[in-house]
Amino acid sequence: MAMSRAVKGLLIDLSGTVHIEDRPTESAVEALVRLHRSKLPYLFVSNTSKESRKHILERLLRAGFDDSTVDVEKILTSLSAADLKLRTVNQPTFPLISPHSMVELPTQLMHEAKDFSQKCVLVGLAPDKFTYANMNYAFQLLSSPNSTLMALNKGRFHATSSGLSLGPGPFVEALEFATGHKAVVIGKPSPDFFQRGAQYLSLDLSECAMIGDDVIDDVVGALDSGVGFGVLVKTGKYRTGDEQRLNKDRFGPNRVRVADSFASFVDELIDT
Amino acid sequence: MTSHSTLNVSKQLGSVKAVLCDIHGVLFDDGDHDQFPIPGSVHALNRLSTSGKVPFRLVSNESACTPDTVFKKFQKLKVDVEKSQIFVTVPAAYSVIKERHLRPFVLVHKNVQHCFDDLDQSNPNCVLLGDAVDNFHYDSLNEAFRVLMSSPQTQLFALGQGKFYRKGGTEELCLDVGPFTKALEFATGKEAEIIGKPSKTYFGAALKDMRVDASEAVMIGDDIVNDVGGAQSCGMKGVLVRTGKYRPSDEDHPTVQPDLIVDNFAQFIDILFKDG
Repeated sequence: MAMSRAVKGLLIDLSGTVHIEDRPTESAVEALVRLHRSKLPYLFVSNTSKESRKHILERLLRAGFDDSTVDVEKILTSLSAADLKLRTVNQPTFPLISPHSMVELPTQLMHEAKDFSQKCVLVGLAPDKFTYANMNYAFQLLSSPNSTLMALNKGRFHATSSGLSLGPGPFVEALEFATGHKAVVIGKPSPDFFQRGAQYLSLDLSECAMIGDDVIDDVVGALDSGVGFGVLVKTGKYRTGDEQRLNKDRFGPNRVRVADSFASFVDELIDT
Repeated sequence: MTSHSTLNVSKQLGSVKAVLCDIHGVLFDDGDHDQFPIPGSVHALNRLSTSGKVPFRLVSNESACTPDTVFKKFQKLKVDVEKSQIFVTVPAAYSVIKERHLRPFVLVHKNVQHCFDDLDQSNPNCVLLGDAVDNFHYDSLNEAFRVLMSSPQTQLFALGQGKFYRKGGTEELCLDVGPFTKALEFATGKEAEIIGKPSKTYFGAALKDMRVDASEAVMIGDDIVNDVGGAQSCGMKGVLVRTGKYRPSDEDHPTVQPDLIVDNFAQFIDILFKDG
């Protein structure tokens, strides 16, 4: 497989690709051990806006992943990337994010009172916070000039144990439509995020392969950002027909792969 | 073809045989319990109504009311219109869903939830969104999302596509149905069918009711996109009022140029009857 020679590092999506909630995807634990032994560098890149990296690590260990193969240093999340961005914008921010995500963010900038002091609205996955009152307040804040809408990610939906569930994306889209704002997106498929991932691996974007279950945010987003290869896995939020959205004509068939799972892709990659 | 009077109005409007008029933001601003008439509007509407010269329809995207509730509010304010002259979206949506034999998941304003009670809502195969206000939250939208994802055929209907409206008696702007429709379109990749302005079907129903051609009609409203732009797309003239959700930037809109801009509905009626 030509890809195995050209790929120098892997950017690996977590939820839906390597695990679904507290369970690993098929043979993922063994596949990760094999990957680790092969010495091919890898980084987990997650759009999670709900969990700290420590939480994620604990979850992966609970799911049975070997502690030699997973580490907080091997995890890049939209939360950890947002920290720097928020400090740069440096404005009081209305947080539509879950309470335990706040730990990874500059708390002195997070301001929840509805007193119109905030110049920035930050949106993550926060089901309890997506009330009409909060959405309306965010809309009113964003109707004033010089306000910023920041999204940890624009995930459309994800797989949960009770079925598919809305991500923050639709709520960001609602605010963009209502106000004419274009959100600053921190996580996938923002090119900055993939670039940061490649930097962590000390590689060029073109030397990396991104593997994930979200055809748009993981695979097409990565390819559009200059990541060398995109691999779609048929687990998690994958739906039949997603392959049709891979746009092979634009990227060329050599840059695009579809695999049954993370484990089956690792097997192919390492065995050749 | 019934003969109607033709008013030869300003050169911007040409000859006018029928008027379509928005309600919210043109005649009244709505509060939770009260109507706040816009100065001069009631008198002007009564002038239009009693003159008998020009048929008119009130064409609104109000999705929290029925023609009956609007009619009762108008009666209290001594507005001279008939129920049959009031076009709102709820009856139109009911008809569409019933005609197509669909089972809706209904997420609308609590005041009109009951209007859909005699439709089979079990095992829903379509979603109907209205201006649901507090009924819009993660769980209800997630449920709507799951209905839409249950099959490629499930359809999303929305009562209008307004971005926001002004809460009556205040300066407060509030999210309308449009942003939540966009949220579900984004999540599902599906396109909503809009029941209400600016849908041609919706305008067309009102025009057909008056037996006039679009080219002979004028629509007046406060929403540059859904009222004015929507009307012009159908071949009608579009007049913008400087009340309701109007903002000065509307006069420099990138794609819609109103045929006429007036301060308020009263001024429009003055112009309409100037030579009449």
